[in-house]
Amino acid sequence: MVHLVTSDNVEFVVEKEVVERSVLIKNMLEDVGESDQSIPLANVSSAVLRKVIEYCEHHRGEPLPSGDADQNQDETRKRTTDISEWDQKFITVDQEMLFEIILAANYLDIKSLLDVGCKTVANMIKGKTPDEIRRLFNIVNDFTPEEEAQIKKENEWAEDR
Amino acid sequence: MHRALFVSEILVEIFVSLNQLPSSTIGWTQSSLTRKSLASLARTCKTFHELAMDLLWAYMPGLRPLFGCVTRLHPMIYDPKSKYSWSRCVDPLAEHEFHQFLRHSSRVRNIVMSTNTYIHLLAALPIETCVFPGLLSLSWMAQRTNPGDLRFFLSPTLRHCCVSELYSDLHHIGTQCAALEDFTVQGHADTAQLSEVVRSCKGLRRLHCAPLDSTAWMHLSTIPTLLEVKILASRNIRYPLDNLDFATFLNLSTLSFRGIEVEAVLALIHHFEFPSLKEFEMYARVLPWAEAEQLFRALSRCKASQTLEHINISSGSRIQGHSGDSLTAVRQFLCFKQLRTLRISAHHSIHLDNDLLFEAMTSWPHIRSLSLLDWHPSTITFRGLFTALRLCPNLYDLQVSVDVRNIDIEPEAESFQHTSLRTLVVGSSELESVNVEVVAHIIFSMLPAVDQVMRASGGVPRLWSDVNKRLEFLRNRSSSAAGRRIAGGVSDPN
Repeated sequence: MVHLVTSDNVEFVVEKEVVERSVLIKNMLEDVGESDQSIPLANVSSAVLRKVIEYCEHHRGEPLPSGDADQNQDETRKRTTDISEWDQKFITVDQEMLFEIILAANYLDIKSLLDVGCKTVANMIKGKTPDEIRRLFNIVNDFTPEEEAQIKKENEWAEDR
Repeated sequence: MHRALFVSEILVEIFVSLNQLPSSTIGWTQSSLTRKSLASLARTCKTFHELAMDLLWAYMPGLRPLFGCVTRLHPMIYDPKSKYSWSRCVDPLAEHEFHQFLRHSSRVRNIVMSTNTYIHLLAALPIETCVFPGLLSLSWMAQRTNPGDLRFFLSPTLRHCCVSELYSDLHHIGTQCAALEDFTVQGHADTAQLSEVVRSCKGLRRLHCAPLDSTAWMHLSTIPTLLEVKILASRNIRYPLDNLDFATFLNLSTLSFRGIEVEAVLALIHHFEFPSLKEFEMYARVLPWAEAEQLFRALSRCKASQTLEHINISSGSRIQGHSGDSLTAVRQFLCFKQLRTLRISAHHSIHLDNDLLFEAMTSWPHIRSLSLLDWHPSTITFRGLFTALRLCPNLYDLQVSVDVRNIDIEPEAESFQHTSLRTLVVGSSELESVNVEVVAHIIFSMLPAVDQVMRASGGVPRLWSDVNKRLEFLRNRSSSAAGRRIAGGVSDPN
């Protein structure tokens, strides 16, 4: 079993096979060896880690990208356009939690989870206007009207079909 | 804005995912939606701008967007009132205009030039060097290209290049584009000129082109990265290969010839070794019996017997007064223990009987597709067929002649089923003396995945139409019986 301590100081005890879906933790365990010492995860809160562990438990035993196969598996992962039904339900969370899961997946190096999160955000963006995207993600428009007009002009070809 | 959207690797993942999302729409519409989304992201905020622009401009469907971003040319290209004014010649781009062009062309990774439209505007570019410094893939299908047009695209980074013909600008493509991996020249090309161009390429992985001369083949044998060579002759020309030395294509896995004389292919197979060859394909306009036999013998003796997985040999038309002898292809190919696919359609009968089919299936435990087009009545019987099928559980596609008049098995007494076979194509059969009901019953009970039997020519003559009707009746009866069992709550004891 592996002991993980979150940023809000909550300890989780997780099976090694489950937690090793995180390449970061897997490498840590390989470097340190068997130990009862807790691993501090300063960038992950307990609420987010609970979700990440739920994901890792569901996907335990599935092949992990590693070593030389990294690039090929990356390609395969990118070609796989569908998000499985379970993953879709799992990632149906509020926007704050969605981005926190993405951040945690990126930090912990769980590529498949990062992929699910990013595809979900991409789905939200697809077909939207700049104004709609700004409203959706609470983004401030930092272009001047002239700059924005110039970009629109340059990309006219992409919008005229 | 959430802090996750400031992390560059996360932003890359999200934006790249836009290209890979499933969509109910296809083709241009889907691509258009992705472009619109990326164009929206480029205008959303400065954090998104550069990455969205890089992805949006990475794939260029021609030159219109690039010239359209030059302020002076924009109205010419986009204003419907000046629809045809872009066809006029324009003054050379000033330095700041060229900078506008270059700012976008440097983002381009793939460009498809499918028409001549806007190509003449290349003359407005002030320098004669490559203006696509990051170009990876070029598809040049435009016709009537002027000398010099292509040079703008021959970037040192270019890895994939497909051109409609051999343009003079390509003369030194191998030295100008040292990273070139895939090179396709469609259509006819002068053998000497093409060979010279190919000799300049040092790191090819795939080459598709018209016939090459001996020196080009010798050069190709020295390229360790080479995986695939496909030679296509669009005209019926003699293709002499003199001065070939013995050489080895170390990693070549695919070799394909279309429209090439057998003599030239034999010369290559005799001189070269292909220790990694997995796929051999040959299409000849006509394939005389003697040459076909020579080809099979040569293939069986080349150093590929432990690797070759796919063989596809076919010819376009029958030769008048051809030999009455059967081809010995099956026996010649018994040495290929890794064979997955064997397709021969050479307008000659292929010798195959129960014993040889059994021997073949013993030799090819991995076979998945076997297609031997045979214009003569077969001596394979159902017993011989099913004895052989027991040896090849992965076979899903079978095209051979079976003597269906000779019912030498009792389907009720057979417990064997081949569940993988999905496509059964039979050669010609005599209509007389065929027991349609029994034939259908044999197929129904022993080949459960075969929905209907097709004939080699693609049609279904009356005999097989009758067999298929009977087959459909048996399947329907079987599924309604299964439905009744489920509805009645009777569980299958198995």
